[in-house]
Amino acid sequence: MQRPPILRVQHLTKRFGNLTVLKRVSLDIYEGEIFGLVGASGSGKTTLLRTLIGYLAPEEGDVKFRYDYFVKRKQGKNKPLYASVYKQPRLARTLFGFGSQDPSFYKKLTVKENLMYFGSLYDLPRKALESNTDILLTLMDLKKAEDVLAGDLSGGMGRRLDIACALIHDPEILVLDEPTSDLDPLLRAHIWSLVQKINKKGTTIILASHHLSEVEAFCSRIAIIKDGKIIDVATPARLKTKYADSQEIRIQTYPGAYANIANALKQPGSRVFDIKIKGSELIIYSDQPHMVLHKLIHTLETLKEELIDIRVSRPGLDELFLRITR
Amino acid sequence: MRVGRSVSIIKKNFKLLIRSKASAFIVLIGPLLIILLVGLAFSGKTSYELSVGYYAPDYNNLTNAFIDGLKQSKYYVQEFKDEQTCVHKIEQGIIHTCIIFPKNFQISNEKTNELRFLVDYSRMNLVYKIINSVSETLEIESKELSYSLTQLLLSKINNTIDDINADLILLSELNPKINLLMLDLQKAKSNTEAMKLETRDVRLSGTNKSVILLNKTILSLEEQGFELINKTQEYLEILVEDYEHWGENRSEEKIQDFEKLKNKTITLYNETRLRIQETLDAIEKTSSSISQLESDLNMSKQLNKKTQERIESAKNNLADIQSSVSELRIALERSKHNLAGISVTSAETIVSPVNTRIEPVVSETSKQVFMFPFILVLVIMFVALLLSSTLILFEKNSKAFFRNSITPTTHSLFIITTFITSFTVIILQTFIILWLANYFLHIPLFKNVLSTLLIILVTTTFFIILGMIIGYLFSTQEGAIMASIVIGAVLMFLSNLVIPLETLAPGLSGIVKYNPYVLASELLRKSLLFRISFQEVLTPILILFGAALIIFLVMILLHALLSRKRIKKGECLS
Repeated sequence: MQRPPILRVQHLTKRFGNLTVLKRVSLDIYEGEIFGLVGASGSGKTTLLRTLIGYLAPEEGDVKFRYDYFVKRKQGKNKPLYASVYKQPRLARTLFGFGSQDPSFYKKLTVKENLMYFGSLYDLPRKALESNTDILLTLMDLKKAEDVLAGDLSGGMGRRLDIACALIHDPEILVLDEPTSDLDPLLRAHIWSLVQKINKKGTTIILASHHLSEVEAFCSRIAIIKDGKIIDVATPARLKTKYADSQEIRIQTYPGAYANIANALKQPGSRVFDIKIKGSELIIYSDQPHMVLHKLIHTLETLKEELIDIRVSRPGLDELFLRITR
Repeated sequence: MRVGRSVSIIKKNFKLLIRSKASAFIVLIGPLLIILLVGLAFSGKTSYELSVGYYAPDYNNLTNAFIDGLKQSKYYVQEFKDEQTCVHKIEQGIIHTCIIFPKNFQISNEKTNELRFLVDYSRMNLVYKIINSVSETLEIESKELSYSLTQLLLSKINNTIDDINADLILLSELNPKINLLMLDLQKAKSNTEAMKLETRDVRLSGTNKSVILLNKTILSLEEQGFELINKTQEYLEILVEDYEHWGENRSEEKIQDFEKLKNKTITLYNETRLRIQETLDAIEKTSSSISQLESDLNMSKQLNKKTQERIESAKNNLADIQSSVSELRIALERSKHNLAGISVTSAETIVSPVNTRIEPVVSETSKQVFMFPFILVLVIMFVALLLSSTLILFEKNSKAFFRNSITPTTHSLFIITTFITSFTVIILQTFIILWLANYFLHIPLFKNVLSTLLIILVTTTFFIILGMIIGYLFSTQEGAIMASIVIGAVLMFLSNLVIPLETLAPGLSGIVKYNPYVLASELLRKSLLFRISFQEVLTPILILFGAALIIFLVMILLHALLSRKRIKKGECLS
């Protein structure tokens, strides 16, 4: 039996002037999961994240959190209590930690000072604050840099500090807005590793990211948002099954007259849905790849193209995302 | 724990301020630098480095005295041969002013001596300083001249008073003499009146006849005496015969006595006759003298009458003189009284009945002392405006603002802590400045400690809140700094520091006197430099405090409105 959600987003509508950014968005977030939010730029990801933590007030709908986390309950009463993020803002704010797209800390304070300062805003006792700081410095691999001014940190360290600041009060839910944007692959991997570590400690994570492959790899569930609407919410595997109606054949040839090859393959009844040239590769989408492969080899011979590499696979989340949001 | 949060936020604010080099310089060191610069600017020389040109058509002692006065005032003094050259040098900026002496410059009743100052009015800031400075020097010369003239005048008046006093003494001495004279005259008159000079009907011929008759009588008496004596003798002879008859010899002796008596009587008779004869002779002479005397008396009577007339006239004249003398004395007394009634006898006071001597009402005399309250409030105003607006914008423009917003800490706590941070910085700076002022300028800090502290606290509060409003209104540091400077400059310019409020239009000056800078600086000036009671400053302090309260409410309202607007717009505050 599935546990009751820690957070319930109900029919959330947010407008900025005449522009409706969120349109009756509803979601359930479960305790301990890594929930991914994917969508194109301007689709409403950041607005949704900021609205659900209570920073922005919606015009309609509500976000409810597990109030029973903050109150002592009588034995035997297991039905969860929910409270509105907007009606109990002070409690709600201790529930969430937020790592923003742009690191949000004081550049003129040292790493440790930033953590101590933000921790103090949550009324943490001194000992708990020092303990949390120490744990986070170790966890985020910032121990050596604790006395370095935050402004002097590298991009990756800055991002880690930002996440540390979001975690200083040991929140139930960590919300990360584009945590790996503008980072190199190595740093991205490091961040994801940290996210996993945090999640393993029991913290529920909601994150928005452009790096769909990473989201696919690390998130337990994914919500796809388009124009302020949630298109679908599911596990990555279910999304792939649901939306992957074709496979892709990737080839590399020499001299690589891909336009001629594409023209030759686009014959009626060839079962080719789409053909794309991506870098040095030609990608052919089809629901009957074995039929297409036969035709492809024949065409290459005709056009005197030498086959260098060929791969057949299901499309990734990136491709699915494009298809879904197109 | 709220205190813990506040302390943490304030600590963070201080760290940010100190670590931001520019703001640390502007906010922490800037005010001290301003005070230092102002101190340097206003200390030392009291006279300006002025170049003064002059042109005199002719020279005399008076002209030279004025020129020497200018030279002694350490001006750079330059002589010109004509007015045009002097004017040209002003236009070139070589000299600051040109003084034109009048022709035949001397002191006389017929002449009005006018010194002309030629100045460049395009240099407005300097013109009045030049005029004040140079005219002050010339005024000293002019005063000296007036002083000597007045001194002369006064010495003459004093001499006159001395003369009058001497006359009065003489007159006082004359009066008793006249009184004595009048008394003598009165006596003479009385004696004269007492003389019986009326001619009586003295008939000396009758007297003569009587004397003759007397003589006849005496002769008769003689005859009768002889007869008596003869008879007595006969009687006595009878008596003697009787006596001889009786035998006693005593009648003889008696007869001898009678004989002696008879002889004596005869002798006396002869003497009497002689005397009577002499008397008759004398009477004869007297009669003659009386006749002469009568004649003389008649003449004297006439003379006496004339004398009495003259004496009467003299008496009248003397009475007139006495009356005149008395009147003169009264007049002189009145004149003396009038002269003595001139209470001001100092020449300097007569020349300048209302002295324009500028002297401070406190013991300290340097300009810094008078400027200090204005400068201090100026520093508080600018630092408060800049610091609080900077702190607000630090937060607003900081990427950490978003993180602060999503913590359970309320906005009001951030507002309060920003206020406390600014307040602490400014109060510390103010105390340092006050301590320095006390040490170097000897400004009495403890004259009105309570008032001074209250004024500083309320002033600081007001300008910090104003600065915070600026911070909330503007989205960029540059805009906030510009706004702070503009507001500070407007408040400063509409104050006594730059333009005397008395010179403003009545309507504007009525408004400007409630300029917070004016209120604060005037309050601080009174509190630091004069002994005033707390009650005297209470009303303006309350006005300032009321204004601070109003703008605080405005700030809260503004903050709420702007926050709502930002959230509605969906602006990312970070």
